[in-house]
Amino acid sequence: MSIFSWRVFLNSWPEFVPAVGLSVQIWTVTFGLSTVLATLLAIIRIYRPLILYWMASFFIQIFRSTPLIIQLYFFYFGLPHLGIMMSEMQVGLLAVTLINAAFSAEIIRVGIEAIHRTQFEAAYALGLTFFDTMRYVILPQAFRKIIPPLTGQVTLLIKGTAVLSVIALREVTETARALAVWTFRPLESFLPAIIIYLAATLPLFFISKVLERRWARHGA
Amino acid sequence: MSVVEIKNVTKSFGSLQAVVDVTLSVEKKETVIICGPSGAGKSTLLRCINGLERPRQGEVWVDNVEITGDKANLREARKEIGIVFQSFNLFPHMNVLNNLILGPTKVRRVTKADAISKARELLERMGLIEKIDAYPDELSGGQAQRVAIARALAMDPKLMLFDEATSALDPEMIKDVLDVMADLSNRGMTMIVVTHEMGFAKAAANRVVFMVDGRIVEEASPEVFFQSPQDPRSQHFVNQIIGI
Amino acid sequence: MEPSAYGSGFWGVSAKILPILLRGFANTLSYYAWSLLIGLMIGAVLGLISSSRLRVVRYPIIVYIYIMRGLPFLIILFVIYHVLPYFGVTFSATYAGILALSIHSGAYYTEIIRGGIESIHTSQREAAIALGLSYFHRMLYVIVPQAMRLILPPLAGQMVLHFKDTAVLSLIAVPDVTTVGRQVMQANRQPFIVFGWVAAFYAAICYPMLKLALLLENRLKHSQVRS
Repeated sequence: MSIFSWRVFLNSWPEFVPAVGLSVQIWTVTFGLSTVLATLLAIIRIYRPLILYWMASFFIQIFRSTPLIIQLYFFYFGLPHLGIMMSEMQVGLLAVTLINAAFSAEIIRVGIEAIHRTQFEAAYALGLTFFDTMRYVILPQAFRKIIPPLTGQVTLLIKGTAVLSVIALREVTETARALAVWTFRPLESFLPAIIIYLAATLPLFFISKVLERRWARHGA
Repeated sequence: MSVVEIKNVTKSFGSLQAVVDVTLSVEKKETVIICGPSGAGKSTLLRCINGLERPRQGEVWVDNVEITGDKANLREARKEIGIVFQSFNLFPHMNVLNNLILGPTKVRRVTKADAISKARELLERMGLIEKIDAYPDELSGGQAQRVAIARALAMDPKLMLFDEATSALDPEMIKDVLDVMADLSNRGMTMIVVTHEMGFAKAAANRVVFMVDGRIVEEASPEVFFQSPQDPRSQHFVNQIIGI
Repeated sequence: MEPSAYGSGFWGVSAKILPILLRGFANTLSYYAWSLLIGLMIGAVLGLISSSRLRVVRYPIIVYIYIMRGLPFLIILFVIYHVLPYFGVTFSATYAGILALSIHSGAYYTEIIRGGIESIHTSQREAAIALGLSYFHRMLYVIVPQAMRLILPPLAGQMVLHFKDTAVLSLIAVPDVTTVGRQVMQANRQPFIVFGWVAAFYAAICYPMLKLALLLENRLKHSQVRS
């Protein structure tokens, strides 16, 4: 029996196409939604509007203190009990969005708090509303400051989706595992998955450094 | 009708009394200088005028609108009040042009084209037109401060506030900024200037207001204040800066 | 669901399932403790030697770190459990789990420790050398104490992520609290009660550790050493 068969390896790749499509969909939708939610949470945590603050803090602490798998189980098995029927994809998107938002919220909060008070003063002095101040003056600067931890979070997002198989989503990792069982050739089955993940995460490390250098120039 | 009416304003920070029962009014086209030793409450008073500080007691009226009342009035009033800070406070992630057009387009709802042409006009007046695409970190202190003045003027305000505008500048750049401020004063802008630059005060001011420990000690025209100050504390202060 | 002696309300169900869940949680803690020990040892050793001038020492460590950081933990777990047997190396699920946790977290600990040590400015190293201290003494008395302030906060944060990763072991049928929880829930169909307790167990460990990490970070800000 050969150690590594190129034939099997190359034939494995087509199996991964739907899985990659699914994963990319989840990554992009989740990133967009969770960033918006996280920014809202960060602003709530900074300005502390009474009830919302406690709700936001509670939310963030819960989602940071429990594993993603448990959250997935909670939604997947729990929601039908409440009469809410969601597809596996929707549950997956929901859980990953929420946990990602919880982590990103803290990162974004730190970024905003790092912006000097005088920037707020200059913006208000011009007559800008809170919303416009955040949108045009504060958030652009904050996001540039937090590129490294934020790309770290994106990396965690990409890797985090691997466990979605627990709610029967055919993600990249699950595809590899099922293929390994089917073909009895685990090496050729997992190798494409490894390559796919590294192809997604390794460039992020370098993009992070490049963006950091470029945007830090006109930061503050 | 006064542009600015300050009535019995008091402001403290914890146990520190920054401004104590100050009453002051400023007329149209007047240039008023506020001076005094450090910690006298000058900056705090100035910041009360555009709402960056809210007085504990008293009222501030700008252009017949009470800004210490309803918060909505304050936002409206800020369209007419320009402020220049000691540390410029330009938006570092935007180039000069965008710094200038942000306020007019978002607050005054001017069209972008109009805002751009006004910005160009202002920069040309200050001799900074070639810096229009530059970023704040590429400017010298003097250039940055003049851009900050242009940014405030781009809003077409009725009143300009200057909070120690030259204190953070290297000596050779101070003149350029003071020239812009003097020119503004000559064109009839209503200005309130907190400064240590007494040469500017003598030349451009209509009135000098002298503060110590949060109170107004003396108010007079520059001739009277610098030649024959009445209060002993003013005399002490003027003696210290003699020869300027 | 069979009726229990305590009734079938919240407390009734809880009383029935808690002993089982706690046994699973005890396993979780055990997997964590072992992999934490091994992972920290890996991190300490590799972190210290990664400042070596020898490329043959530095490069493999860098490759190790990037691979572990670039791949999901589940892939690493599956490789150890499913792929290695193909090459004759077989582990029980439990050992595979602990091994995977150790080498995955070990890479992160290495990176954190390496980063901390490297942040201590060269001038400190040179001052210590000038005093005539040996490599060992330099490290022990000058570099490491200062690096500790930079290492502890992110280390605490990583230990939390490490603890949550133990849940992934449920995908190879290791009897941790997540696996047990799922089995119990599938038997009694009470997802909120079952997973509520499981979540509470995880939070009981993670939340204090997160607070500790925050505390360390704040203490660090005030005692910042500038070289």
